[in-house]
Amino acid sequence: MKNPYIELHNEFRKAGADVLLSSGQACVVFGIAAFSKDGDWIVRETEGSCAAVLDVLKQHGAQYRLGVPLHPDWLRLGLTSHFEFLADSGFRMRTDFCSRPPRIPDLERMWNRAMRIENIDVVDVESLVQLKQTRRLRDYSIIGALAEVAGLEGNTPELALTYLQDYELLSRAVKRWPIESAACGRHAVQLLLKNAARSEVVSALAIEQDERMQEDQRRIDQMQSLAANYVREFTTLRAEWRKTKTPLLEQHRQLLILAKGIMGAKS
Amino acid sequence: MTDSEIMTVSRRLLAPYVIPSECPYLSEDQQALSRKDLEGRSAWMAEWLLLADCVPRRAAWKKPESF
Repeated sequence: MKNPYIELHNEFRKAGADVLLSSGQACVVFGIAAFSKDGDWIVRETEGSCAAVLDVLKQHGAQYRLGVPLHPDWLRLGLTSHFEFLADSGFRMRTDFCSRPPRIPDLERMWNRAMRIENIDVVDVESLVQLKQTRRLRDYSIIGALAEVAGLEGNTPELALTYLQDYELLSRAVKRWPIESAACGRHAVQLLLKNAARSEVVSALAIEQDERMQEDQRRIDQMQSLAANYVREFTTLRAEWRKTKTPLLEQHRQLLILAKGIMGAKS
Repeated sequence: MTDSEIMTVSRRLLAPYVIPSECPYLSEDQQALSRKDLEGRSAWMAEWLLLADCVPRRAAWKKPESF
């Protein structure tokens, strides 16, 4: 059975878009997540890549969901573009795009380290861990799992020491890599080195996780405050699109005007 | 971490591997998924999507129509 998101990825590549599979589908590709209902891609911040993606989506009869126009001017603000369409097999495909995923410190490095194997282009494991530090609690199980299989099992101490999420495995990692642990700035690791009580280490892990979740929430709140009027106007526009069956490229044109009018010219 | 280390470990996870049985984070489904190759994982995902799509359809079918 063909995975429609992987097939769509290949269509993007054939159309000339530089894209990387990320988030949920990337977790499936890495064998960590059993399921992901939507597809997230990182797209190269160029007009060419954006246009190629739009062209493929147009052929599928895709519609814009709430988000910014798929254009470098908007993606470079860290905002995201969202689409949906019905696949030939009948189920609803949801596709999300960004060019500057949150918490990735060096974008060019991320592109250089991307895995391009067997028709799959996917972010590297460390970038995946970083972009999974979201406001959702369930993502921290994914981070812990990646840190276990890629860090502890894969013999990559920094990955294990920085991202393991539970007491048992982190204490195992600290015992195994005392020199790397001493150089690690993570509070829970330093507590383990000092033989602190288990409750202290567990508290440090929980506080760290909560801080990450709050950071992500603040990021989202900031974006939402920037786009409050945009959301209202988008909803009106989408109702009109549905009524008139507006094709994707026309939706895109109208959305560019809306975004520029409400959030200002970005260049 | 060097780029080379990260790429090596990422590449390793794209091939079949075994998640340790005591892994506190993952379910049996995820353990089974990790043992598959890329093609197997892709097909697995497709089956899950199909199943997920069946759920709302069944729910809608069971829901009585309003009169």
